[in-house]
Amino acid sequence: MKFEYKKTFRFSELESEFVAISEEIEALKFPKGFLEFVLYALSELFANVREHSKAEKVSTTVKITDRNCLIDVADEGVGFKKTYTASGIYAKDDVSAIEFALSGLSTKNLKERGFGLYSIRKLGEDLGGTLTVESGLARAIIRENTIAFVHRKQKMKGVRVGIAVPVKSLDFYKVIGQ
Amino acid sequence: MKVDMKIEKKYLVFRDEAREILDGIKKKAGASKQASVLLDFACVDFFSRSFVDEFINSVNKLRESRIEVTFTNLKPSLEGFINTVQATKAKIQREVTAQYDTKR
Repeated sequence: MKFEYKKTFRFSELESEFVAISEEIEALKFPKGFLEFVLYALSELFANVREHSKAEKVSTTVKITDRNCLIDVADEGVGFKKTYTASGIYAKDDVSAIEFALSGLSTKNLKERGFGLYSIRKLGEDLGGTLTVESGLARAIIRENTIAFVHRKQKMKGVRVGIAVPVKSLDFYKVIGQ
Repeated sequence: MKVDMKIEKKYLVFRDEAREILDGIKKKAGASKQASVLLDFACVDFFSRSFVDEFINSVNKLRESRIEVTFTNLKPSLEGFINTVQATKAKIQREVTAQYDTKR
């Protein structure tokens, strides 16, 4: 099995690109629960870009082989810190803003929880993979339930999220329901 | 008043798609004080969690306005996914409310 998609497209094309990628991925054969994971992760990342980024362009890479899967979505929008600030939530720096996003702090309603990255993190951990989140001057690498922060030398615009996981079965609905 | 509405998309990903459905229902229900809406999901193969989260909020808003919404031709996996998101939302609400109560 080999699937490769790499493209930079306009913000307005998020929906059509999601449909195009998904239709190709659905034709592949995966272990139980893995297709659900791929579509879930990609849809949540695209939804985050659409809801928060204010970006003009989005870069997406999806690479899947028999053994490994990589999903990488980057936008050149406002980034986490500004998104939280606009919602009245103070993040002292980019590290805090990433921590907020990973913990599921919602920008919409403090009595709810933003689930995009929070649930992707849980799924990635369940699969034994690595999640990388970058925004502004911070990069977080999440592996085996630990987060390591690295200071970026150059400030990046927007947000980049990369998920690298082995292709294997998972109890998708159980993990999502936790 | 009875309203039938068919969702034509295969993938429902974004929150604004849920809001579009809500607006479509409101438009069809018009000024009716009590309406019953049948949403047909025969074409739909995929929901994102973001879509479902917003969709649940939209359906609840409609019910508050005395518009009853029922689903038809919903694939079992999608129905299961809605139930999972609904249960998770309820659980989070309970946790957050408990946190607020403890802080008070």
